[in-house]
Amino acid sequence: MQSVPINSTAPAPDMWEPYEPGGQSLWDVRRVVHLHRRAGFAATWSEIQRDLKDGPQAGVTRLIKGGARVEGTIENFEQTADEIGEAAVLSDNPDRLKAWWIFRMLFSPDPLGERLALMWHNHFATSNLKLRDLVLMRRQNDLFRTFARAPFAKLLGAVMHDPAILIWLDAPSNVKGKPNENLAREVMELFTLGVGNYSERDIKEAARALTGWSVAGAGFARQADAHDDGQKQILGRKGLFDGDDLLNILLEHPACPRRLAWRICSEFMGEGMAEGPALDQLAAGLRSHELDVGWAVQTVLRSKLFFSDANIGTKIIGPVEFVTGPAHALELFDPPPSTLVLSEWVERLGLSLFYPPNVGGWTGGRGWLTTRAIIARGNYAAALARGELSVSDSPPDLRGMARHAGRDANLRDGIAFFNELLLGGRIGPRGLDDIRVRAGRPGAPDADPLTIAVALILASPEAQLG
Amino acid sequence: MRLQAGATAGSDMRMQPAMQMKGPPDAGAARLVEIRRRQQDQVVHIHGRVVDPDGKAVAGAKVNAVPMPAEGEMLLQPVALARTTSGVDGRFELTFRQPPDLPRNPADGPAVAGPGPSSLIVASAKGFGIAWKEPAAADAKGDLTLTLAADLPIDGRVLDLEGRPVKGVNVIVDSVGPVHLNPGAPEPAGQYLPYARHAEGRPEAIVTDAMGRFRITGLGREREVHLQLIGRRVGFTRIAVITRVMKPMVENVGQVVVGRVQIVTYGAKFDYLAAPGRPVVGVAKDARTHEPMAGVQVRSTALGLAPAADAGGVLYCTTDEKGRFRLEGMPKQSGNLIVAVPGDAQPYFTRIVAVKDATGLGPVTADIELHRGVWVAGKITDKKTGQPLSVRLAYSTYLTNKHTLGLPEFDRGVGPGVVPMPPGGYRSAPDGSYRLVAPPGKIILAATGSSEDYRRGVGSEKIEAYKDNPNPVGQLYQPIPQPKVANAIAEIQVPDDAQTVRADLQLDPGESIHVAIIDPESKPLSGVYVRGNKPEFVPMASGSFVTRLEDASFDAVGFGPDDVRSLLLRDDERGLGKALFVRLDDVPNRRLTVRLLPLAVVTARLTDPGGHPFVGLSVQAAIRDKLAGDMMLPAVKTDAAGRFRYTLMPGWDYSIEASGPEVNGTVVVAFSFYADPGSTRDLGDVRI
Repeated sequence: MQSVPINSTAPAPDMWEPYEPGGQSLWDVRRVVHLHRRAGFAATWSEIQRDLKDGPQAGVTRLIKGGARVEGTIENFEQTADEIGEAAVLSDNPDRLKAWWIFRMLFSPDPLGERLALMWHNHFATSNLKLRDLVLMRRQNDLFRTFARAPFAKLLGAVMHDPAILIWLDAPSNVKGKPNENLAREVMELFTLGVGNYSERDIKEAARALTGWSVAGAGFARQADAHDDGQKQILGRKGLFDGDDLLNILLEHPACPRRLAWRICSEFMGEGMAEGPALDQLAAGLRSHELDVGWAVQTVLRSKLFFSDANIGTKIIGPVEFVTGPAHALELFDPPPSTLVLSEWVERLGLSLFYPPNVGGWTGGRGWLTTRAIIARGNYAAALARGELSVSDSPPDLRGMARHAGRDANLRDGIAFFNELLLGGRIGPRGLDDIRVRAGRPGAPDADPLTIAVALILASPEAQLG
Repeated sequence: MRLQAGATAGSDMRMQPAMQMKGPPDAGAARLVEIRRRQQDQVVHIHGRVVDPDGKAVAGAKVNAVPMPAEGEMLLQPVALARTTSGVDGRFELTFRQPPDLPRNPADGPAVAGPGPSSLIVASAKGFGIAWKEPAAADAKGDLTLTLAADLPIDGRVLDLEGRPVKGVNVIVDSVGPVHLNPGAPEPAGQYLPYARHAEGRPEAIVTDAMGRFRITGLGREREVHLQLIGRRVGFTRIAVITRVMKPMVENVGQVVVGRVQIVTYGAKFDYLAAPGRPVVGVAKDARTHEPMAGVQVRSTALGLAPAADAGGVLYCTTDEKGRFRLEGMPKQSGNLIVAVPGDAQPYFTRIVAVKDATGLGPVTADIELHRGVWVAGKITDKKTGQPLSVRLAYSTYLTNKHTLGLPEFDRGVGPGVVPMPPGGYRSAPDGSYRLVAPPGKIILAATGSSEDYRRGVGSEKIEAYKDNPNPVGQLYQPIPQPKVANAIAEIQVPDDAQTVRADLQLDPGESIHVAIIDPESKPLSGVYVRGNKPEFVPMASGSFVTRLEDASFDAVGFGPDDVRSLLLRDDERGLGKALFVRLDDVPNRRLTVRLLPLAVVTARLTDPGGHPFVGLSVQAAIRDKLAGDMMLPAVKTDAAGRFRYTLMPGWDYSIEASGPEVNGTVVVAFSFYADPGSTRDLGDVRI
């Protein structure tokens, strides 16, 4: 990426300089695992080996192009996913819709696309608690996926013209003479600009611009009678603005790319890793690339900063990634884990898909690690290692996997292998010794110490960070 | 009859209304009633012919007589009353003992008239879709023609929520019937055949193969089929299929508080995404002694949000000698209920238990503690003949009954309190004997027969609770025996130290009045439609004329000493009719001759004050006479111009009302209108 000068005559260092392996920064298992845990839902041993061999450019390109998965995907994935989604909607059981999304995360050839859809679900946090309509929830979710990497104007336009957000933020009751400011407030505060970049008056005027945007049947409707067609002043601009004009004004505002840069970095970068100049530079790049999200994501994932030591293992893994990642890495493909059960675990870990806690979404980070959630993470790790997630209770063939990777299947080597596969080898020698001792302790409830060891690896402090 | 998605709606029991007579007068209706009466508990001989869709004789067709399950009953095993095979000329003969007619359920509503058929005759042959008819559909000579249908196989595939085929799922044909796509539309002609698997003698279940596939043949093309899917790996579900080449049809029925209501109907070839199942395990024990109880049947009674009736008794198992049970195939979801039904020799209350849904797919535990009651036993007979009767029995007890207060089976929660009953309720056996479990204290026992000839509410006059209110909600547990429905009602004191309390009930046929019908020229008149010849509980207002008399006279039956009966006679072909009120005291010799008079007609156009017509308003006339009580004639609707045409029984003063949402309730069209025989009167434009 080109460096973007910010208020300085001297060229600022390029914060998003591309990563080139070498020196202290080798392209190794640790970095490949880091890439897939951050940008996807972990990787199998063969996927790791493939990327290790092909190099970071190829590895990131596969993710960007939606072809990172070679194992566990199924034939006619989109068709099958559609059938599952349709049946979920028809069941009118929200748990089934959650399971559908987990299915997509587990088996889609495009894990990055699902990560981005999850990011947008958090950005435009809409809850079925109010909508009570799985048709609309799924339709919105599909928009997040379709426009996941698109220029942001397309995504924002699609979401804002879709009934889910309009119902969620009371657009139908925002009418001429009796404005409801909910949608106007959130489109500025959460979706585009962020707090501090607008005034209360801007919100009032924006609400007037949005009057008449409503829902008819299951679609977007402009109700001319309800629209306030008078003059408005929004963010210093005057005109007979309507909702579309408002979106254009917001998209052109300098705070919008910065908000987007923050959102993308929150998703892919570790805590405190992309602030100040890094955000500014990414924002400037976004602006010069017409808010192209795909460009920004690619820039981040290819950067030296992303692969820097300081960025590895500094982000608390969220419930969705914690649950789905190891299921993919441990190759639970046949039989696959029950997606209904996985979504239950995600919920026990603190995240209920399609039910964000409020308009601001999930704050994530340390908030994921409540005492209750930590215990649930440990229990999930045990259930996963024991194979209790599918109807037929099939434990993963851990020793077979180790052997297939060319390792000895003894406990010590097995533990070392799964430390690499699951965490990029981030548990140090003392931690591994501790796991070996605990797994081999007589009287442990499971017959195979390696099963206990894998559960301990997944429950370790290192596994909570990615 | 349709299924609802998600709610797994559509019980067999709900299908029964569709099997019963409905709608406009039918020339065969009176004969049908007669045939039913003759067949009750009698040996039936049916003969007929099996033909293909072109009317050609089909040799070698299987022909079975099968019983219809009563409300709430479950046919656990394939059964046939008789079986045979058609000869070279397609002809067959069957002889079997007709089971008692099925009592109708008051919840079926007033549109249903008469008891449902208690048996069906079913024919099947390779390469064709099955045919079925009730025995009463035979012609006057008892000959029944069964026309086989063209066939279209159902090719289905069961996949799990991960899109993988599910092997080993049992697919059971639940019912077959005519296509009925719009739930709001009238039921189509024809009937549903429940439990088709029993009817045809096909294997109990078709099992999905390694690719999750199954194929069902022989149900016919253009039919609506309901299937049950049962398996260890999938949660029980019911699905609707139309045997037609089409994509799944989704019908949005509306938005409700808990979400969107949608109905899905699959075409003949489809994939079904099945949610996983999980076993429910537990132990049934005596609540007091904690001794395990063997032989207790455990059934599913509600699956998720589906109403209890929709899932009733679908999955079942029985406790072993240690009281243990394992119920497979319960869907993994919250809101499941199971019901423990004590064995025939166990005087315990039926108990419903909620099943919690924990994370995962492993077994969930739901232990069951059952409380002991007291046997109430006796015999149900006809008061006049002493013949034993098979009837439906129910009881209630007072909400203040201290013996029920500590029992979870009677738990009132936030509701009105419900008496625990086994699925299907209690019935007396063909020999009239019955036995049920009741709590100590005062109970109100009610018997309701399948015949409509018996008096209703006999005995209720002696019960304090009914003195001021025929439906004493707030005093009694639900369901409260209704004097307008039940034939015999008695209050019984059940001592708390008793093993068994005896209570015999009699159904009273009452007195009959022989009614002869003549026309204005005093000639006997046959073929007249009649209402009120039996002690019906259906309000006159909503009922229609379903019984046509073959003869010029009939017996009006079931009169009690103080009854006042509305009797309506009508012959639209000849434009004659009569409405009268009959009391035993007024007919000392029990013979009555009724002269029909020319019907009166009243017309009008209903508009708003601005002269705009009210379309589709319901217009109804009531006789203005203190004896008439709630007697109203069947309603008519205003047409596109706001006009209605109402035919009235002559010789009475009427009030006429219109109702509908457009007028915010009910408005008076004419307060007093005398219907002169043979008159036609136009009230002109009536502004309301």
